[in-house]
Amino acid sequence: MNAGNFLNMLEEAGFDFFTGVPCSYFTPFCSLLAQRETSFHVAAVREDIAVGVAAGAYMAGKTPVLYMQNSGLGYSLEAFASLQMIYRIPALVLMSYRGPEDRGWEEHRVMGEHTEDLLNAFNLEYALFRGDISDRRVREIGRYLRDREQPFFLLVTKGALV
Amino acid sequence: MNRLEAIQCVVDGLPGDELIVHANGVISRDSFYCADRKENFYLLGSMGLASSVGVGVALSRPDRRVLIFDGDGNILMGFGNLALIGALKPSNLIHLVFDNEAYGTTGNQPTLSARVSLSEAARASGYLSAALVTRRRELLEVMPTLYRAPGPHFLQIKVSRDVPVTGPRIPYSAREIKERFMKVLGNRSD
Repeated sequence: MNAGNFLNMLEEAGFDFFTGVPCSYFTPFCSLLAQRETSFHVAAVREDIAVGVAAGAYMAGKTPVLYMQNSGLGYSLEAFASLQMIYRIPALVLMSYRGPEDRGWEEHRVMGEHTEDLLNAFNLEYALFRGDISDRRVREIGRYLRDREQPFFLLVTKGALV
Repeated sequence: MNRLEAIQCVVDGLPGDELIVHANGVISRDSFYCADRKENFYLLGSMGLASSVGVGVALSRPDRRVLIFDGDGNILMGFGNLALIGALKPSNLIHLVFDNEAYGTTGNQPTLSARVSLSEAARASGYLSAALVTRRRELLEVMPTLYRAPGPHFLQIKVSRDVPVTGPRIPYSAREIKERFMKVLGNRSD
């Protein structure tokens, strides 16, 4: 899916604050964000810091999107647990999935094998995003975030956003 | 000056309805003991992230002044926050560090802030002002200057480890803390 179209979809669904740490899967998405004037963008220095920034932005009236590699899930899981989950602060999390389908990277092997296990263990809802998503589905996710006040993860596979 | 005296001094001198994001542990508890304001947000955990939450609020609401009540252990754990705030320069942000050179909540184990200058690190990161005070009189003098000039400001306040009283644990649930804070910002979460 074209990264610009996806970004437009998110903005149309009300998302207006983006923060995170880049992944090569997000290269086109991040370069668009850097020039975007319709949304706020904070390029964070660590994934857990991005989670904190998103929590602050939400309480101050924004509708945040977090983006990070699944390697950042390890750094940020405690932040999700002690901020978003207990305070009930929603966030859409775009998480690039250096997982079982993207082999050959030793540094990603362990986290890649256990990303979904970790999300399941923490009762964090997620779906795979392979580059095809409808406006209706994005609005559904928006409703989930408002109703449940919990994070929702889209695991973004390689080549899903171009 | 102990931590409670320093926090009391800042709280007593607040010009008005400043938002205050508090680091977890004794910083939250001491401030709650001094005055539980509806503009106060307390982190129950998430060590290292008080300044992350604070900068998220400050960037989203440039019309409101935001204070962060931080600790030395918190700053050291989330050191990247100094770079983020120094680079983004939210002018409505005042970052205060009550520095007792110890992990006060867990039994006063020493931190590195006796040997590493947090205010110099903040200055190098790009805060518009970064200062160190050690006496109550200096704190009383410097606070009004921070409210007058655009930030971000960083103030490292050295405090002793004397704990005259321990504030109670925050009696609210995380959800109650959030809802009160959002309400004061004119946002509802339902």
